[in-house]
Amino acid sequence: MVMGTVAKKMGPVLREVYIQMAEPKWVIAVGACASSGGIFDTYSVLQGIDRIIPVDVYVPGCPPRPEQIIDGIIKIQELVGNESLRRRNSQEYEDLMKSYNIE
Amino acid sequence: MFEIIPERDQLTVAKLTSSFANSIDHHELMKDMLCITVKKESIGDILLFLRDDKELQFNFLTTLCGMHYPEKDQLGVVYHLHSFVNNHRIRLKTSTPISDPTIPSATSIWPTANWMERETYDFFGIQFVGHPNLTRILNVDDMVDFPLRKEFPLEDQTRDDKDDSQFGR
Amino acid sequence: MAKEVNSDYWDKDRVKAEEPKEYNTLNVGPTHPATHGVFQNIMLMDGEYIVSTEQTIGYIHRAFEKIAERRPFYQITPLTDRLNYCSAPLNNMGWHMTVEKLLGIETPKRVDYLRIVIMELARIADHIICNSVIGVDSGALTGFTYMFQDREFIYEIYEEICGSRLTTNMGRIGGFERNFSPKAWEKIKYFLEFFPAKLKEFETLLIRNRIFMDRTINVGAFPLDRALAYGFTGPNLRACGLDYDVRVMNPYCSYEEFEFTVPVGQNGDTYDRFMVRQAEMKQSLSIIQQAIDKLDALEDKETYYARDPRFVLPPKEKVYNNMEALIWHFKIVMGETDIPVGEVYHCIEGANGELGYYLVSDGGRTASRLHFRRPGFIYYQAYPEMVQGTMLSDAILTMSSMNVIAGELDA
Repeated sequence: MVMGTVAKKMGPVLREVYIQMAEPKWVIAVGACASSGGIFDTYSVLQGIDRIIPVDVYVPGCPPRPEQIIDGIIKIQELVGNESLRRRNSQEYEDLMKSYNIE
Repeated sequence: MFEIIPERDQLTVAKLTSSFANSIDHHELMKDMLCITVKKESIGDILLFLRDDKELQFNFLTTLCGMHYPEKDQLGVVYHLHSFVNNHRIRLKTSTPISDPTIPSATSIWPTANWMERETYDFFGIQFVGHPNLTRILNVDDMVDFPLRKEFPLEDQTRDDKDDSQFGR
Repeated sequence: MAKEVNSDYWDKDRVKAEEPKEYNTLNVGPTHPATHGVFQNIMLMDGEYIVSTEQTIGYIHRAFEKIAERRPFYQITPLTDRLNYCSAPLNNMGWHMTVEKLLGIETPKRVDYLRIVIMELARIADHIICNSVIGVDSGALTGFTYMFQDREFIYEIYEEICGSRLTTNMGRIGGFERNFSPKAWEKIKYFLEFFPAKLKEFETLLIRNRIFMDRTINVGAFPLDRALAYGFTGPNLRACGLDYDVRVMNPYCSYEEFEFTVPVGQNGDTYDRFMVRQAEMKQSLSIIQQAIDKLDALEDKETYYARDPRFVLPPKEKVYNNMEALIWHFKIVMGETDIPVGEVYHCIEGANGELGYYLVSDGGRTASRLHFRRPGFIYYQAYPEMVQGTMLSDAILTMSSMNVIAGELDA
């Protein structure tokens, strides 16, 4: 779960943490700033973490209410339950990782 | 709110003009505190004098920030000083032309000025002479421009999804 | 047969000379559960002891000062929320007072008392976080979970007043947007009834606890003259021994009519910072009670904003029904009013220290320059000096007791 504003300085750090995560992994972008830059359309804020890592669920809000975040987690649980066992080895997944330059 | 104490303001102005007569450009009593504009070469000596003088005792540097005056092509620094003993605050201003943005550092007088001057350097590009470690503090280390100057744009320039025709920019 | 050991094998000097000291570099990085926020410390360690620290901040830099040059005054309030987001109403009220100082608006007494109730609630909320997190970092997670129940109740009070829990955007320049509802008053009074007992429960968990005392006494001690040189204000400075409180030195918002003591510590160590914040919470409760009594004593129970049509947005019912209110509303929002030219510096006693706003106006609709004097940014510089030579676990406790919030560091 990535919460809060991600500045451009923090981007590489976030990428490193994502690469260090073990498979299977899912990402929730919590908050308007993590999803799309939020109210901060400035030179120093990354306009959405989906510019650097793939995101599964977006939870909007500034800040999101607790119920919204729980809803986001329930959506992740649905994704986890319905995912095919072969997804992580599929070509589509590898193409997705390549598009973010993650090997 | 801050009370204006006229006797202390007059005492400060009198002491400064007697010791640093040619460096004081201008002094003005603004809405909330006395504001003194000085020349940048003597700002270090003036700050030391204000801190060490037995009657003035400005022992606390509240804050230090930079300014950009585009119409005069100058960068400036504003210091707010506070004397705990006398409960007196003043504001000191100094400026330097953009072509030669150097100002003596206050780090040797108050260690708290260290990060404040780094932030001012990061935002405006003012070089503080005598600073132990003048590097960028808040922005990315390899940034070239100085963002808080008036000509630098606010918005992130890499976005391609904004439709300006809808917003009357 | 036992192997023969040289008799001088354990000679300490010989061992030292043969094994040169190697320092480890430990990155207490931006994503770390012990740093409350995103900032990094690269520590040079000699075993468990810290030799030196190098700090990197700016991982959440959102360029507030640049954004503020583009927004009219009433649109900067949501930005100030996000400075020290644990006590957002304090920042909002401080900003409103700064603008009122620039524009020359006098707020009525009732608005002042309402503001004081909110500001002290926000201070209690921030100190709850800081103190329970000192407990968490020394291992006591129970206090944290119990105290956060009470912080949830403060969130409910905020929600009754302004609709939002964390980043409140509370109040308007000149007052508030609506009167506090009776439900809000009920909740505030209920809070004043049950919270002292909860606070006492939390206290008895920690303050005479042998383990907690051993972990926090003489940890991160900082002498007073260095603290002043580094620009400390707020509970950190009061723990070092100086009773500097902006509410007493430069009273704002009718604080001079209230009676409260300023708690002061002795050594400036973690235990003192913890105790100063505990005592301040109790003083805040007393201030809120006094404010409620003063509000009951005022005959006027209806005003919630200053009557200055040039700069204060009129309430919506008037805007829809009254011609003058509509015209003033239009003028203020469209930026046709005459903002005075000048500069002003106003500071309030934030939860971490002296939170100052330096506002320069050139007569236009937006500020020409706005600078925030953020206490967290200023006293975090002293951290390397505070932890040099101490152990890593002590350094983590020192950092959490200083209450460094990332939003305030970077702005």
